[in-house]
Amino acid sequence: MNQVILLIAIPLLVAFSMPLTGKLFPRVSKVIALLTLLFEAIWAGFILFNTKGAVSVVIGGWLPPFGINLVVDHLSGVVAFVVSIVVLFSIFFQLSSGLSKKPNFYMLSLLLVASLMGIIFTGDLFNLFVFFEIAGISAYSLIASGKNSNSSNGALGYLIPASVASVFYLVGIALIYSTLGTLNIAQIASSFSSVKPILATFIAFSLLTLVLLEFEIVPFNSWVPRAYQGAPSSISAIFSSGLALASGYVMLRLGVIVFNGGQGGFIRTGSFELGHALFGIGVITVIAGEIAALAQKDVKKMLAFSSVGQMGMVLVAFSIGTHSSIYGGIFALISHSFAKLLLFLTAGLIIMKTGKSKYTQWTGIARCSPLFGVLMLIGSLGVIGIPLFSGFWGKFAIIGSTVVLGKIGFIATTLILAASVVEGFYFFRLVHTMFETGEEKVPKVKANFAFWLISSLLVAVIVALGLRPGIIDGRLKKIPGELIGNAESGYVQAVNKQLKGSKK
Amino acid sequence: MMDFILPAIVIGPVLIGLLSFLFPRKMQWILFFLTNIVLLGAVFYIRDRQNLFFLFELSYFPVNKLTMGMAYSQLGWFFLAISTVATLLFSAFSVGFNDKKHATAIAPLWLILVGASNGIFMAHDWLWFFIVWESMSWTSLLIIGHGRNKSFKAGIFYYLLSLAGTFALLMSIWLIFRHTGNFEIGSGILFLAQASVRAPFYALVVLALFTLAFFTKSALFPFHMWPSLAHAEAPDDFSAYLSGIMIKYGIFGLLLVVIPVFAASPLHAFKAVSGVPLPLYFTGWISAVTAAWGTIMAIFSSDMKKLMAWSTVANVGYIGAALSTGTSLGYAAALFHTANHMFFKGAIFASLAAVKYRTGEREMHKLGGLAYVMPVTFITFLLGIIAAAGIPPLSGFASKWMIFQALFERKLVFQSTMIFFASTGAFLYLFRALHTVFLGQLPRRFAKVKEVGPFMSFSLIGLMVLMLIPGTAPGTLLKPINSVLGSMGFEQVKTGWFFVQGSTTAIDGGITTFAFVLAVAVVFLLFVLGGKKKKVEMLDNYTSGETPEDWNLTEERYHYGNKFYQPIEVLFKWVPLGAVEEKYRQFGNSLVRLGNLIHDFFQGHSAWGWQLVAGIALLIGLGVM
Repeated sequence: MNQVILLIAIPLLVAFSMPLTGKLFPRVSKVIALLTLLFEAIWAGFILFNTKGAVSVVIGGWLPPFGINLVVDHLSGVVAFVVSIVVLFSIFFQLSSGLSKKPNFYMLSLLLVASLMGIIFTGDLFNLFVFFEIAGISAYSLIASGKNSNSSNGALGYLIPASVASVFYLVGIALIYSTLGTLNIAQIASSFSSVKPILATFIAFSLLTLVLLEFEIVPFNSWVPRAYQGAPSSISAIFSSGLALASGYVMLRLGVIVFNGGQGGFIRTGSFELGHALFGIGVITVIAGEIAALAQKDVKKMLAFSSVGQMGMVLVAFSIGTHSSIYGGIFALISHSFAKLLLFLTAGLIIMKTGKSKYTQWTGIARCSPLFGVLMLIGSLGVIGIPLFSGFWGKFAIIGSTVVLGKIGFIATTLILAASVVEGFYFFRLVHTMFETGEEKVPKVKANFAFWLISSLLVAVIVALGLRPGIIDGRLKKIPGELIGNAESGYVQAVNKQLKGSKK
Repeated sequence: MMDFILPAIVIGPVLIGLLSFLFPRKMQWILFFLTNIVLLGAVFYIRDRQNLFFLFELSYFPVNKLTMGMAYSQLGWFFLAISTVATLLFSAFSVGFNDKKHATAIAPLWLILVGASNGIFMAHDWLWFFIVWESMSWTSLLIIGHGRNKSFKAGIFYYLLSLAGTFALLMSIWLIFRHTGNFEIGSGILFLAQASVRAPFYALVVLALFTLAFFTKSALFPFHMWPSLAHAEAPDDFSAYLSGIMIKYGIFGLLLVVIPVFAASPLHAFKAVSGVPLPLYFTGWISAVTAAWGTIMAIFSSDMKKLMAWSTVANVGYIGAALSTGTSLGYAAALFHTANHMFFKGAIFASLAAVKYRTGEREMHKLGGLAYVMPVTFITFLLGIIAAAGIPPLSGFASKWMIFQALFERKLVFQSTMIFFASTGAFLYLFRALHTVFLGQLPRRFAKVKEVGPFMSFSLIGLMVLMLIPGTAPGTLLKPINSVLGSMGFEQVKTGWFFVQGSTTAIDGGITTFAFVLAVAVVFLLFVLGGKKKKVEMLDNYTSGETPEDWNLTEERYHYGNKFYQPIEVLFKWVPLGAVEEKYRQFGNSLVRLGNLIHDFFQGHSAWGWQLVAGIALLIGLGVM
């Protein structure tokens, strides 16, 4: 498993060489960037394929708490694989779409993917912070690289709150270090219950402020609509399908392993019912996100708010912390990544070719080019969670775990499902508008081979996961068991075993 | 017996539908028709093969050993058989209907829908039921929308109600699963029956969720308004399917789960009103209200498709009332009326589609006298409304009679009165439709209208036969219904081919038919022997020699069909009939406003600061709670 470091090192290396190669051979450097992303996807797949259980990898021979370790388990393997595919597809789309971007754009996206991999694999809280910062810096610049009037606006709207939230995070890890003397996630997890309850709650809040902000949870997510609208579509896709996925992953890690000590059930820090708080805020996010999306005419904003709603549902699932709810949450996250990627790329292409960003202007597009309508339809069905498409199985498990929680659970489920009805409305409104017969003649939208390749792969994934959840079930079903253990989670055990083994 | 014929019936049409996207439109319709012929054969081939099933396992972590699939049931087969027969006739109609001028691209989607529909009737477990149920919902939305903004607005209303219903279904499935550990329908019913004693509240909540799902689909109160939008705006040839078959899914669902639970739970589990368990008594009242409401709204409609959609709502109300009696006579009546309504409403919508195909009009007061130029359509429509009004000897009479018998058996006086009111009101609106569209005088611009082509005529004639036979010989449908009742463990109805025994008396289809034929013969004789007839021009007796154009008025204003029942409308002015609809609409608008509010919350650069604070405060607040 030592090779996992390559997932972080290679893109960093290529990225840092880009300013030079980009000046000398601008075209070649873009291809190199794409090849690097391809390597990431293949390598992440390879690592996922070889994962048998949680394994800790020490970097540079320094043991925690002094050194940094990377942890590979099923969860990080799956998430890394999906993220790498998302980034590969988005950047491939961007590169082949004909909108010329400077080599710096590709450099920044390589930085972004490196930092996302770091976020996923690192076993150290401070290291996590560093990677969050790198991801943030590259994300601000990538948003600002958009061509429309909202780009710099969106970047700024993301930069300021994210920086403030990072300060919160920094305070949190400073407090952890001063009380426990370590920043290693596994070590903190073993001894977090010994922290004073009030302090533990305070720490949890400080860390979660940043994570929830990145995870697009209401009301931390003020950056979402403007950033999505301003960024190029490929970058919006990476935010929605990659960054949100990685942040959801961190949320799960911190929540279940660190704060709750891998016990399962609602997350508690000391005497504070953090799980209940997250559950509530998740439900609020679902409702707010879906209703806000309903009011949007701008397609990208609509998709952005839809992401917010989905993330809320995932947060609800994670906060419950049972085996099937965690499974459902991860399934929903992954399927959302694929479906939203398809939606963003298709919408991005249509916006790029027609220059129309509002769905009301899309009348009749699918009459001339029906395949685009079909792509949007399949993506929508995947996101809403209609059976036979991937989103269903995640939602199905989540509903199954919320509805049995007694009265509050029943009410929450009703609210979530009511929000889903709203979701069904605006997605079908969008798709149907494309199929409507309008008065004015609509020009045919054309796409190149790369787009068809990407979109047909994504459609295949969405439909295949919908028909047979068993395809990824073999990997996914081990995740809850690794996160939640009777005494300790598999993650913590793996790290501790390594530490003990080397002491002897 | 594991057999591949069930998946072929369900997945076959879906695959053919997907494939037919590649064909030209004319081919699609022919393929649709051919598929339905094959389906009809397959459906009758599997008749009475009780142990037919097709199950498969899915690997899905949250559920241990997830088995799902299809299985034969007598109830499912009955619905499958009548819907396949009807679909075949509708598809023949569509082959003729979709020429160059009227073509819609719905054939492939319709094929998928047929597959999903068959899947519903053959469901073995809740998960499968849910999957096909939801597939049916969204495909039908796309068909209703068929690329028209107005139609989509009508369709989305239907779809949202339906989606809310399916989500209720989803919750109830999990609430049962929590205790039984599987998704099988049979064990769920058993569990609910037991729970009705041990944990009555829990059982009632689950049943209420199921009922909600099925009520939204079958347009019972307070979801009664969607057919008037969706059925009216759907493609004309699809309206027959929508109103004939799709509205019955809810009835099927009620028979599948709600009724068996009440039958299986001990008598003392629920309080009873005149022998009916209280929840069923309640749904009985809802159905009766639906019937009355639908009737009144139908009387007020001037759009012929809307009128018939409201009539469908009223008929579903009758069926619901019969089901809610909780007697085997009631179930038989409900099933019988379901089948009859499928055929006569199909016939009515098909003949209206034929009218629209030739004239392009939907407003009744712009039509008239079409009986002279479209005789086959006219006779189909005539028989259809005779059946719908429940006049012997057509099918509707026998089933309506049974519904009343079932209500009398339980001595439900007030519900019977309400249904009787609705049934009488049916005469008013049906007569209006017949009179204004087909009788009276033919407007000059329609003088050259011709009868519809052979495919459509074939379909119309087939539907006529299906209305006539069960009326004369109710046993043709009641005997299969008896085997359904038997398989569900209910008492069977006493019936022969012609003879039906009710709770107070018995009828004989043969005698009523004979009497009817005799009466018609006498009337015809009188007509022939009667005095001279004089033709009056349409506007002669209204305008006193003035030409309406001088006053900027159109001829339609003077059509007798215009504002036909205005006096009744005045009578009902104080009843807020559109109130529920209006409330839904207001709610939708408020949601959009709220959405804009939430969106504004994200605007402005200074917002983030207090949002972070608000977020943390929210976390603390929720956690402490």
